Amino acid sequence: MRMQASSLLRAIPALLGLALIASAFVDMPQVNDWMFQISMLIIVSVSWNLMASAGLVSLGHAAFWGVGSYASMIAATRLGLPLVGGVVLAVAVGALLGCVLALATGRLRGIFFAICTLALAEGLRVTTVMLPDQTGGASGLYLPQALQVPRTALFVAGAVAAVICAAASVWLARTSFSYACRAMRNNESAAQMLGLDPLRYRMAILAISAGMVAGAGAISTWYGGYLDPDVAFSMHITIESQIASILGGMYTVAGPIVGAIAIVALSEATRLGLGAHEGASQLAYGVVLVLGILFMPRGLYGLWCDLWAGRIAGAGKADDTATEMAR
Amino acid sequence: MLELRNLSKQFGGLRAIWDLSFTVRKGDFLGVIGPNGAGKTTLLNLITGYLKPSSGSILFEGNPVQSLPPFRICRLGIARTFQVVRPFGEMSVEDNVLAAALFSASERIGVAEGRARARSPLELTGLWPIRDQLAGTLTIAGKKKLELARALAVRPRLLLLDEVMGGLSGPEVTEIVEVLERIHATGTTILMIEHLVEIILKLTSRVVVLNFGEKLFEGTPQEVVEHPAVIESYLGRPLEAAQAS
Repeated sequence: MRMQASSLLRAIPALLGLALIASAFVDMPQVNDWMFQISMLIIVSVSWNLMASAGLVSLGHAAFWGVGSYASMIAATRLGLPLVGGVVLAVAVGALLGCVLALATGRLRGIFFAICTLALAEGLRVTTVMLPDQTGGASGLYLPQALQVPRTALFVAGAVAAVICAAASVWLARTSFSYACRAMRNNESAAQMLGLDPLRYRMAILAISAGMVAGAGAISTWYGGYLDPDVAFSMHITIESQIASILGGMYTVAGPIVGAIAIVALSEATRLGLGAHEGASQLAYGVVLVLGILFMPRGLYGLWCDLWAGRIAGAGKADDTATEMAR
Repeated sequence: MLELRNLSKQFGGLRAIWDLSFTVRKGDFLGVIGPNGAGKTTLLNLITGYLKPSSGSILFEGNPVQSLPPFRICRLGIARTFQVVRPFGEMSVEDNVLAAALFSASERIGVAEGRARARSPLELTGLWPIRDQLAGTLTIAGKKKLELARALAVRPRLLLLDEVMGGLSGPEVTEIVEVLERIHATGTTILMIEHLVEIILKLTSRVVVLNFGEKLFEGTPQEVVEHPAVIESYLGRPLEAAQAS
């Protein structure tokens, strides 16, 4: 019985991934839009969580998103680069930015690193405003008509990208990479004495994280068809990426994905349910988030693990939960 | 194996290490003692690349290593423990040691191979039964043992120990002494900083005494404990002698 249950559990992520991609072919615009939002949020929160798991707290995911958006949009308007080329270019430019950020921040940790990422995002936003000839400045850029693709193709691209990012994080969690991340988060200086080269891992982590988000930014740009500095470097991206990870369960593989789904569900539910009353939907959204984070310190995934463990072990689990809490 | 030549480290006007030279030969079990603030931990930080010397050089197996970062030092075959323990608190005891085995390996090894290599250090240090416990929840003695287990997982040729016995109870000290004897017998060279004089007497073949960053004396453990200058550096001069001078 147990064996069957656990192999079933293992198949769930793959089935969900397939379902997400399949949903793009369903002809229901509202559902498609939700799934696209979920796909994008899965990518940014998986990326945010990957960095956080190595102790690199990002307040600048908007920088990666914006750089990817602009790279693909500028290449599209100037060179006529289509969607797939734009996404590849965005991932490459994003990864490069990640490497540069890793080199520039050196050994900075915690809040000091976080502030650098925040400055990067804000600096890039201001730069795009200041360079109207290259970036279209505050008036923005429009995607050329000829390059637009059917919406279904975009939904598929978003879903596939999300599945790739989620799969990458699952794979990384099984390799020595995850040990490097955890060791660096706990004590980077001690990890060095065990032969770990922190700069190499920082560059790898930032390149992967930034590349993911930049790719998502490019796909999202094609979806919107328009780009200006405030859209590209929106603080919203940064905030949602961390809220999804924290609500879902930080430092876990499933957490950011669960969190992304929960955030989109919550924001849409409050918008649809309470949208008629001015501000009520945002208030409800905020209250639920605060309560969620207050009462589920290990996130939705942590809660689910506790409940599942409780179901299997029955009453005997109470002690374990207590020790778990003591940690 | 390890040679220090005229090594100095200044922090502003403070001479933490001053013109220090000594050699650790292959197979040595060298003790480094000295009163608090003598520069013992600074010495280890210099050897392992956490600090850059102000002048002088450090040679490991004939090659200068004083400008290398810690992770390169580790890959040359030098491991250390930290006096102020630095466990990966959110990882299990086993994963701590496993991480050490993974990153110090000269070739790329997988997690399964790392886990296999972590077993013997865990068993040697007596941590095997509690390998699933989170490292952050260990007692100070447990964390000291974990420091040693992690250093052993590096499979070093030169092992630097910074007060690895501190905080351990009597029986635990005996246990670790046996472990160190066994490790030394397998051909690992050990440099040990230790305050417990009976441990130094029991384990080491040679002792370097530091005082105010300088080498005060070097000799066999027996010579060291009988040397007047060493006694003076620890206990001060006898009152009558101080008055007479």
